[in-house]
Amino acid sequence: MLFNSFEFLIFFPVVTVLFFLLPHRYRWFHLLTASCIFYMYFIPVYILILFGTIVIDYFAGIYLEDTLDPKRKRFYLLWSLVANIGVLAVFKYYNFFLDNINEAALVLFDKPTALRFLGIALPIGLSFHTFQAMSYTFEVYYGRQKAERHFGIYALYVMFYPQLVAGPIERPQNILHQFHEKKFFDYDRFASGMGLMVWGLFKKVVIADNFAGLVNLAYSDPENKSGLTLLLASYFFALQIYCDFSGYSDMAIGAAKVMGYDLMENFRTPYVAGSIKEFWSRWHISLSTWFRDYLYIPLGGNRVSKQRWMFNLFLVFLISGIWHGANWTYVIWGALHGIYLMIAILKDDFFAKNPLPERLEKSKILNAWNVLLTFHLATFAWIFFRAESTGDAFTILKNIGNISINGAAFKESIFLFADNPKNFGRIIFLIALGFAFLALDPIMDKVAKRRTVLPHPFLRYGLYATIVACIVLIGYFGEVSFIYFQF
Amino acid sequence: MKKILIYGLLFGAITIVAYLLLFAVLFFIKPSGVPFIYRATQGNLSEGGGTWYKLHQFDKNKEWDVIVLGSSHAYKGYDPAVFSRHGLEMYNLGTSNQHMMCSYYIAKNTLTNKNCKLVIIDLYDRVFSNEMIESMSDIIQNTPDDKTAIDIALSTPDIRAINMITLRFFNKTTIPLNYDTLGYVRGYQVAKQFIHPSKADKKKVAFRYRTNERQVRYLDKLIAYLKEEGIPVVVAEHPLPKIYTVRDHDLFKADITPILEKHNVKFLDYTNDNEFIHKLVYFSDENHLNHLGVPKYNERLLTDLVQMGIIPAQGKAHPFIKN
Repeated sequence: MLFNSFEFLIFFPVVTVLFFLLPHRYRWFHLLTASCIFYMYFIPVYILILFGTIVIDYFAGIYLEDTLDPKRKRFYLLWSLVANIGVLAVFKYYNFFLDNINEAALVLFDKPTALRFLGIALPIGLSFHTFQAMSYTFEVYYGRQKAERHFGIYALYVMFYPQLVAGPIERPQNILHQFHEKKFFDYDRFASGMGLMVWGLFKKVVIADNFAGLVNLAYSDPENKSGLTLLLASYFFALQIYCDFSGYSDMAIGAAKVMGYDLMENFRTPYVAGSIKEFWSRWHISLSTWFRDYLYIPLGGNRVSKQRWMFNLFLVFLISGIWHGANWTYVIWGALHGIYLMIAILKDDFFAKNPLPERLEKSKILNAWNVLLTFHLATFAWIFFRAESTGDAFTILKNIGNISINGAAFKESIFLFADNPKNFGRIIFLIALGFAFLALDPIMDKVAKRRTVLPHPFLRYGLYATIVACIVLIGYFGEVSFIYFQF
Repeated sequence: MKKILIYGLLFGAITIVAYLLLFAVLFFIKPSGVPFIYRATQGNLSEGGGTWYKLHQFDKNKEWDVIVLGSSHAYKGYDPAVFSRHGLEMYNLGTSNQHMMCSYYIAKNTLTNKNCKLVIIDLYDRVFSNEMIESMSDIIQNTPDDKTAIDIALSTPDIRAINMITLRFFNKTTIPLNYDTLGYVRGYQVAKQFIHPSKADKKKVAFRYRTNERQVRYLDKLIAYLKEEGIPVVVAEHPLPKIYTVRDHDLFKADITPILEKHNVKFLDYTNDNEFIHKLVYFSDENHLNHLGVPKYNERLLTDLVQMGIIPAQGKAHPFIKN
């Protein structure tokens, strides 16, 4: 079920009202049933896979806690990891690896292998819930979390519908205990959660989905698009993916909040980051902290030699790229971010030895330059993330390299996006809306997350009423899924 | 609870005001003479003028012998002139991608046993699989009948119906930007193109049918209404060329047959008809008849209807036989 669907418009209030009407002892069952229905809206049979890994991880958690023998502990951890990564390997990576093996076999032996491709669809949100399940076994293994003995509550930890298919990837310490706590209806939480949901929906249907059409138009046939068209589409994609994913996260966090559950923050206006390191502390926070806690730190983190530190960073981002999808474009995207961070270490070293004057260091111009540079580095990497193949990505870069920027080229690009001269004004309006969004997002993010309280309730009502009006009037309500559902 | 109710109502009222203000801004501001919001069928497509014209031209106080409902196959495939040659007054109410729900409300609010003696519903697998956004948008914004527009808007779970109905009342007195009367005769618009044989392969289409429950449900409601009103009904599917591969046509028939049998309605299926299937000259594209194909098909259909006793033979003034 999509958050931006009519079905969810019915599902959410029904589930929430029933949740508060039911006695506490039945609520876990109610939420678990609702989560199953939510998940089964996509491909119903895949719930069996989810159920299988839940059973394995549930028992792995209990055995991990009950065993004192380190060897046996490692065995149970391995058991859980093999089950989770195995499912990922089969559903997400098997065809990718086979494709590459076949390519290699063709070069070496003039014929592909006899292995067959699997004709199966990827379960929705597979990478999210397997990572969430793995974080549970890791935490129990390290002794930082008690094993959950209530099977239903553990299943709910993995399947809690607001964050089941696209995160935030929760940690057991944050959410498991909340399922045991009795929740009472609280108007402020309700209003705050609804506000966050409305803001998330705005980002999704007004910004992301409207720009999606323009991006698809340019990226589906980059060979025949001008450099300026592709450059504009790349900026549009930067906006689209941010609004698509952070919009989903806001809706997930908001939906949970209405029922009294606090999910972790997943985005914090990443495009105002002044460095790639800061970008990753603001973008997909639940994933970047997952990799930090369960991969980067076990590898030694930054408490190793500089070369090893840089290697650790590169490896983590390379794996992060593969996590996103079984395609070389994602691998390159991850590698680029790894390279950015390696360069940042060298840059920091250089400026540690050759510091800038304090006035310049703290100047707004340098700060703005850093924000702009970070945004462009991220946008550059997004080209690989969005391109349908590495070949397409390089075609896009080549055409952008041959860009000609003048009035006629701009008009041509806008007419191409407009498709019809009558829509020229609409495209200009949409671009203006995108700029306005980027300018207002840091403020709105604080308002939606209640870090800034508007002085008068009417101001708050007026603001959210306008957002709802924009959603209804300007929102795109075709069949558009969330980009991150595929991961 | 009281607090939620009061704040909810207050929020709802402010939202309506904000929505109307925003709508007015986007409707009245016209960069290069074109407003941000204007009548269209689907998303960026600036179509719809033809529907406005044909629905406004339709005289529901007149006694029509035959009314045709359906998609582009209907409005491009049933020529009133051919029907006239058989002594039948026909009006074509087919519209772009017409969804069965739209057909139902058009019929319910327009057709009675006083103004219509026979309804031909042209069905087409592909349109029958479709969702209703294009058709809903087209009819809500272009029908002269408020009740039809409101009925359609209220019967859809699509939030965009709110915008369409608002737009309808904002520009009720104006004609569409794409006001187009060219070639329309009693709702029929002929296509005069041909498929060049050398390009036929490029036009090949293989469509896979999938059941659309809403379409099936409203076909049932549409026929039930017409039957209740005492208006005879025939369901037809017009010819298709060989380059259009109708996959799963049996599934489509399996969906509609129980309804047709329940209401005792004949289905005249010409999709694989030998007179047409191998003759590209009768088609304007991969699935529409052209000015040569339409008369031939209409003659064939009328002959079949006479043979089945559904319409009177040419020149004979006996009443329509109610099936």
